[in-house]
Amino acid sequence: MSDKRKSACQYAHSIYLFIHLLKDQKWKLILVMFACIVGSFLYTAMPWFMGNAIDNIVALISTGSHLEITFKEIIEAIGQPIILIVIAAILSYFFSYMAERIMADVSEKTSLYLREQLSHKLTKLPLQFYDKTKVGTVLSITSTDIDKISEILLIGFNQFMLAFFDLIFGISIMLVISPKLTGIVLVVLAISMASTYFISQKSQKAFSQNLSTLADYNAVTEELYSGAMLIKAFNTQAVCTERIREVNQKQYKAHLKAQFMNYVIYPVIRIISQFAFILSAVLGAVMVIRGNITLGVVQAYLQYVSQVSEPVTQFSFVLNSLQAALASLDRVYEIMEAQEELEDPAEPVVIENPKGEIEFHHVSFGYVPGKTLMKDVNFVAKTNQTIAVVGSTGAGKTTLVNLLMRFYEVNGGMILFDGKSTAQMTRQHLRSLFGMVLQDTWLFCGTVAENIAYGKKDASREEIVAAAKLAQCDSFIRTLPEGYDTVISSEQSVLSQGQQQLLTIARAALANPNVMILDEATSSIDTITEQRIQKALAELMKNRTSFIIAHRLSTIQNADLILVMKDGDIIEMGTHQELLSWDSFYSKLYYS
Amino acid sequence: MKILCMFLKKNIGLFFFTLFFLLLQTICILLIPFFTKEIVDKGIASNQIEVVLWIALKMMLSSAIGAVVSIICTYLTAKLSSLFGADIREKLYLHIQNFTLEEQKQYGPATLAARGSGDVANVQQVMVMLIQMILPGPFIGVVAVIMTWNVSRELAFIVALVIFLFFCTVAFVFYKSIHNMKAIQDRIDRMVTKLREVFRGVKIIRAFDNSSYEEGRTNDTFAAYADNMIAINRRFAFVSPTAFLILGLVMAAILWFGSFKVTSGTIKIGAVTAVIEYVTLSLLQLLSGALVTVKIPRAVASLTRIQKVLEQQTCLVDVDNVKDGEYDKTVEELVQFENVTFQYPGAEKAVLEGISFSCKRGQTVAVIGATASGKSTVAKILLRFEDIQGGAIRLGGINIKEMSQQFLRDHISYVSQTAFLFSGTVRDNLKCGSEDISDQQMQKAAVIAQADGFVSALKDGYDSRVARGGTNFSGGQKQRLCIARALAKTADVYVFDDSFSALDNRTDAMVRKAMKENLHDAAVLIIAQKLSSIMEADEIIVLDQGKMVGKGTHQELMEGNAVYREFARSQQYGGRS
Repeated sequence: MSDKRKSACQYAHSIYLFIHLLKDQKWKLILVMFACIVGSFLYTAMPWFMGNAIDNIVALISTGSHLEITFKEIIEAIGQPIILIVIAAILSYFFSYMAERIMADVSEKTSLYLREQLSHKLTKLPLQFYDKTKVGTVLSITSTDIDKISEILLIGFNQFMLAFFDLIFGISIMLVISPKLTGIVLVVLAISMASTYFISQKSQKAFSQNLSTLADYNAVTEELYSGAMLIKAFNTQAVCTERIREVNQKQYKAHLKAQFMNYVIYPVIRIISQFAFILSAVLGAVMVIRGNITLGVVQAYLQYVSQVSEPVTQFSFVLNSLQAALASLDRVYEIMEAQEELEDPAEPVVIENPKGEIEFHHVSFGYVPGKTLMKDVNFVAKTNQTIAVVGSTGAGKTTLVNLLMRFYEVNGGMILFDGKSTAQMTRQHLRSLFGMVLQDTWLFCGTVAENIAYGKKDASREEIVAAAKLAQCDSFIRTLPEGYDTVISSEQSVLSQGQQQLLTIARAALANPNVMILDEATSSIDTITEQRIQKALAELMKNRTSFIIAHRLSTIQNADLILVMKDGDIIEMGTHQELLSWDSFYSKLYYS
Repeated sequence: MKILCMFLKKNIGLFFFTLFFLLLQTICILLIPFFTKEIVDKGIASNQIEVVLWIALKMMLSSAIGAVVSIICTYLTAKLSSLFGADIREKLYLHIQNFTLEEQKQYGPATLAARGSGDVANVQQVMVMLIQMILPGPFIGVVAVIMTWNVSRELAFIVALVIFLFFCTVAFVFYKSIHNMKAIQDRIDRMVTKLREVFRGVKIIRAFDNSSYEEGRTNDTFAAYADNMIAINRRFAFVSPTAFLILGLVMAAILWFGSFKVTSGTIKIGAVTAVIEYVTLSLLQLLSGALVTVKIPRAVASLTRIQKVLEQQTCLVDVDNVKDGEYDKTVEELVQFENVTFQYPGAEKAVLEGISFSCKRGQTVAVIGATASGKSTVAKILLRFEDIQGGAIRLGGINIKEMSQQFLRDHISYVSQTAFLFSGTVRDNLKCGSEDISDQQMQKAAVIAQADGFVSALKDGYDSRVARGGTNFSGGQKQRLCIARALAKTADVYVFDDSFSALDNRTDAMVRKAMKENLHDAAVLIIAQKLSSIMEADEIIVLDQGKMVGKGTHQELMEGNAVYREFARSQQYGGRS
């Protein structure tokens, strides 16, 4: 990512987004800030009290010999500071717990909010978005990127606040004790901060190098596991092992470097702050010897040196993770700000008694702006007709369906349903008129029954079984371990491709739409099974307008109208007989 | 855990070396407050600036040594964890390579790859954290107690008690949260799986107008993840406040007891602050360790998953005394199936039952059948991707179970159903890693497979890149390249598993014609469902639900076999019935 090359303006935008995101949690965050101020103050006070106690003891010792000091005298000397320390400790416990506890919720609620926004946005995005976005990108944004945001809130926010106030209070009190000493300490701290920033920049580079070699390793192994059959068949195990060793070695080196860089920062910071500490100790001791300052104060001062050098390192860490979180937030908002689908019309047309007559009227369309695929498509599908669409891959068959369902908007012309422009209807209403069976047999992770009832969730078990019977899948469903209640998904192959296809047919049948679209619905089924389910499909298409997209011409000969497509447009149309009666493109396809 | 122990045993020297440096580092850190005490008790008390400077020099020295030691320790830790990763990754790959296809399929390539990348990385991350963030806590605690012991036994007792108390708090919080922490990975998986499903099914979801339904279901997985994280965060919210509370209280306690000792002359004043500093350093180190313990259960889960894969033994191995030497390529029936039965472990029904046929040199035998008729399995068991349960398969007269897998597969060339290409160049793919195949041989194979034309037309010809998954070639081109790859290999038997499906009829015919002219010396087994691909075979075997229901030439079967005729009719061949 080009985070570094981002202009100040873009940073400002990211920060604006971040603050905007937290607006709802404003009061909670103010409360946390308050708790951090109090906590920091108390934490700063403790060494002061301790210094007091030490000075009192030193005074006590120097006043007389050991034997004469009574219990009462000691109590008088240290009683008050000790009580103050105990009170400060207990109070600080409550305040810091409050801060931690609030952030425990705020961090995850913020990321939950972002995730919900994202999943809502996904329902509004046009299919173009899905075409050009890799699913992996969306998954990593939703999981990893948003986690970075909650992490910075959970750990970073408190840490930053505490570090900030520790620094303010610490330096203030140090300035009171000795401005000169403090000046030296501040210079050393500035060096420390600069070197931390420098190393952590380097370590981030090493870190992303590590991640990318890991991704390479993952990709190579996944490829080799996918091709396991060929590796065995061609006995190429040795060559593949060599390839694995190579990527593994690269990842080994990148990991070694990244881990080293990531942790080497600690000793570097430590030696710098120890240097500040030693310097202060020596100068402080000299001042005590010269009588400019008391021992207790020097002791307290040294504690403050530790107290302020810690925040400096924390700043760099928080700054680093904030930078990463802002980059993550940018990625989230890249999706959130993407162009949505056109709004539904304010006064949509509703078709009361749909007849299912469809007309394409001078329709033009392209997936990419400026690249027109479909120039001028015209045809009419009358009520209850079966329309077949044929043509080679990339001819625009599926595009026709995509436009009909309004997955994409036409660029010119219009599509009419019962004489009404589909652009005048809500998408919801339009799509409720259609049923679809696609080549891509998508099933969600759920039971068989739930999957069949996907378009009609209140369907009774009888209706589901009836639809399954119609689609010829009742018998195999009953052979599954738990019949209709067997949990399936398209990711895990409990079912064969053909069986999944039958389920999608049952699903479409149960929804009982006016118009049926079969987009290569039988292409993954062998011809014999296909013949067996032809009956089911015929049943499905009965008394409905239907569109069949097929690459096997055998299945569409009885269609009322065959549209032959090439390069996005319809080049021929007519019945099977008509198209065969002349030297058509169709007849070439048919006889090939 | 076992793999971790094995690794540490192997690298025991490095491991102890790392721990030793960690201990040194700890001592150097605690030497700073120790020398501060010296400055107070010896330097200031004696009023001699030279003494102060002398001690400060020692301080600088220990600080510098500490830094060097820490840097070495960091390097050793990084080295240890990197070695672990590289070691386990290679082990995993070599182990999985021997799995049968069915054993691999249980996991799937993505999952198996994730074991080697994500899971190993999880373990590595925690390994480093353990040494760099968690172990220093107890180390520094023990050293602090020892150093305090030198000052005063009573104070050492307080220090030990306090460290123990905080340790218990952390252990308690950890114990209480462990089931939540174990659930993290599962909740992430559910989130990702659901989102992937929604992304893939967007068309169907919208077609059925289920967008808000799916949004709700997706949000449920998000909420489940958030709830689990909040439960963990809330418990861990106790940890740092407790650390600081304990710190304040122990400060008070040490001051209290210390003061009495100082006034009675047993210890000096500088020692009191030194002890307070020891405790502070110990508690802060323990605290930063405590906060990263959240990552441990996830790494343990990863380790368990890796272990599971490594412990799974493959059921298909070579016999001890292979009879490769007895292979006789002059046997008339080069491939013999004898009453073969195959069944997946645990399945109710056999995939193939009682299959017998043979294939002679120079002959083409075809297997045809509907989806799930078991026809692809015929090829898989011939290549011994799976072991048969009944009957025998012979190649060159020897039972294939008595050959080495390598020897068997060296004599068979195979085109699989899915056209799979590896990333690399076209040449890499066609030669498939074999040095023995000359460029002429390769190109000749491409010509036969009708692939030479489009490959030569590419800018870099045979050196053109093949993208991962072969996505820069069309389905038909990929299939032709796969055929060319199989033809480039010299073998006695060529097996084509539904390898012509993506070719149009014309190309299909041309490939088969060219093959017939060039493979007259070998035995050819074609598995198909497209009749046009197999009509001319010398013998056709018809499979239906795992059983052989017909055997003969096209003419014979058209006349006497109902299943075959149904096939023919569904593909518009010979309408008479």
